[in-house]
Amino acid sequence: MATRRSLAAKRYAEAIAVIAGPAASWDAWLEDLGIVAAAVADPGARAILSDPARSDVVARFIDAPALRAGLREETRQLLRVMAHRRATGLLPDVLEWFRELVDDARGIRRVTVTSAVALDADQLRRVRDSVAGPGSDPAGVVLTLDVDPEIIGGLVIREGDRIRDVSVRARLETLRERMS
Amino acid sequence: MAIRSEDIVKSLVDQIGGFDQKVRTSNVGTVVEVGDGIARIYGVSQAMSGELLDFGHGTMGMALNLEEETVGAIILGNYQAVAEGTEVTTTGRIVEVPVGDGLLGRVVSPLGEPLDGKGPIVATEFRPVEVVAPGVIMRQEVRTPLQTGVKAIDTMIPIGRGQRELIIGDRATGKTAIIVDTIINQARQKTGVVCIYVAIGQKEAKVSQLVRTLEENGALSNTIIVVASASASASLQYLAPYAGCAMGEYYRDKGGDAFIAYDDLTKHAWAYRQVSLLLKRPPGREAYPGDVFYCHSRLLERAARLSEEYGGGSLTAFPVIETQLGDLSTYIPTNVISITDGQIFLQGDLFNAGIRPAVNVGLSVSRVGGAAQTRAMRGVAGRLRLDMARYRELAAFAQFGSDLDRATQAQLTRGQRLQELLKQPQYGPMPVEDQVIAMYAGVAGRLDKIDVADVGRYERELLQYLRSSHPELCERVLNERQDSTSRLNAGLAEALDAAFGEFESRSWRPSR
Repeated sequence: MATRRSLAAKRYAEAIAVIAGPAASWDAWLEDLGIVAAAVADPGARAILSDPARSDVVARFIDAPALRAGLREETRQLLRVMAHRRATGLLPDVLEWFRELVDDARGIRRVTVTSAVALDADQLRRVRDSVAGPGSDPAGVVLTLDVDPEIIGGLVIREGDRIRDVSVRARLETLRERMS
Repeated sequence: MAIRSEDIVKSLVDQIGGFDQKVRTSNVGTVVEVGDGIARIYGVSQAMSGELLDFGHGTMGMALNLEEETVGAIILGNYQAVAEGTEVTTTGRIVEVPVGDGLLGRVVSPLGEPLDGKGPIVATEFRPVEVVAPGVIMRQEVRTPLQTGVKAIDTMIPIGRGQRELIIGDRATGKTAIIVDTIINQARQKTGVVCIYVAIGQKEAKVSQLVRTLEENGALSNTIIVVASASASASLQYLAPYAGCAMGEYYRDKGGDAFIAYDDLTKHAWAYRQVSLLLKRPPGREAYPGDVFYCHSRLLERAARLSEEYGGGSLTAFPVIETQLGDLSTYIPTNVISITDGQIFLQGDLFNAGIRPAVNVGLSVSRVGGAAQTRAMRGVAGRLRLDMARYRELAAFAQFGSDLDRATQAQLTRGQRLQELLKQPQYGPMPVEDQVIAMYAGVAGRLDKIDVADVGRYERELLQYLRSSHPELCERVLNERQDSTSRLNAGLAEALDAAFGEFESRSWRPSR
């Protein structure tokens, strides 16, 4: 389920994508941001990082020897900018947005498929083909499978905030709306 | 009527047969913020402006603000069930209301739900509340009168079908009374004009009183009442006039005639201001949003008279604006004055002086209705307007001096009697032929010799006399065709004069 992410974080992510694109350093950035975001996920660290009054602490933290070894110079530059602008609290969101941008750039689509019973390998292949659509590579589709007996039959395919509902439950609901 | 089982089966077969939609495509989002009837939704990136959103549990909303990552929506109806995290789906539909004859005689909410406890609304058709107004090609000029039955209006500020005429005045000056009289007149004269009354932000008691009045006068069965009372959410108050307009457009587009009153647009502007501020739209003058003008202009543009190729139907609108201390120059009144085809200005001073309806005929205008006046009416109205204008001019001066020449005296005498003649009790709309006869008696100087206090009685008895002894004259006035537009046909004038003389010699007894 998509949760709300900060729009300011999106701007940072877009800026990183501009830097990462030509250098083909997507993975390096993902890895670095993952490390930083994981650190920020810690409640104690988060409290310090998201407190604008303590951005000096953050600045010293960035230059600490441990980080110097673990992170690339570009990432540390990003952290310096964000610390200077008191925006380090946005880091987890920046990672989320950046992941999405990387997926877009690489043609990866993350799709959740809900079915009433578990799908077998053949069905899965057909679902993947049909979700990818004609002329595009099914390998670009990353499927997350979900089983929900309440949809009775058929499938519910969700990609981002778009839902294609071909379940028996949806058809019955439509029928009920038409007849009421 | 008994329902046959074959009919049930056939209807089911039709519904199921047409049921071929296999894929239901929708767009989802989650509520991130909710309060005061406003929800901010994350996701629903494909939502259209004005689209109906489903909040689940039967609660619907309308998307108004489409932003980069979120959508600002108004929640229609009860928003207690909507909480942060509630899933929202798009429906692919614009907000619609039921329309048609099933609504006549009913009191409904802006969503078309019944509020009068008379059971469900039987509607065969739904219409979107927001539609684009008819274009230039689809329209024709106003030329058929809409009789309000109010003498002061029908004679001097004539309204045509398809016109937008603003009713403006302070509180308690009789704005709603004019609308009620107009609705009653449509029922009494059987004009076939369907009436829609939209109550926005009003007290429920006032609306219930109005419903009862219409019912007592036999006008309810021809009327649809749309209510978003003071206790309704601002979103519903905002939506109400558009919903009422959609119901009126059904008749307009069918080639019929409809009349709609928005009572009142001041409160509508308040509701829209509230919604806009909650949606964080930038405030402008008096904190109204920048598009408050467009909000009213697009509504009033939907009142139109369609050309014959499009059925020739019409929708006449009476928007109401409440002023503070008679100030017409504030933001919303000037906006609506500039959109409409004229205004009826009601004044508290006149009301308190016993001149009711308290129409200030000097400041009231009808920019297009003159073309729609009946010939006979136009023949007397020209003289009436002139006499009244002279009277107003002189009356102000006459207060200072007592020594007046004979001509001035005569003008004042005439004016006082005409003013008396224009008074009319509430719920007493008058047929157009009676109005012409009464006004002709005034402008022809028949009342000059009569005491001012006797004018009302003279009018009543004269009309009674003519109806019983000269019904053919009333008929003639109604069907008058004449070439000159500024004078009453000489033959008809003569006949009326003779009849007046007859009445005065045979039946009229002055009280002093």
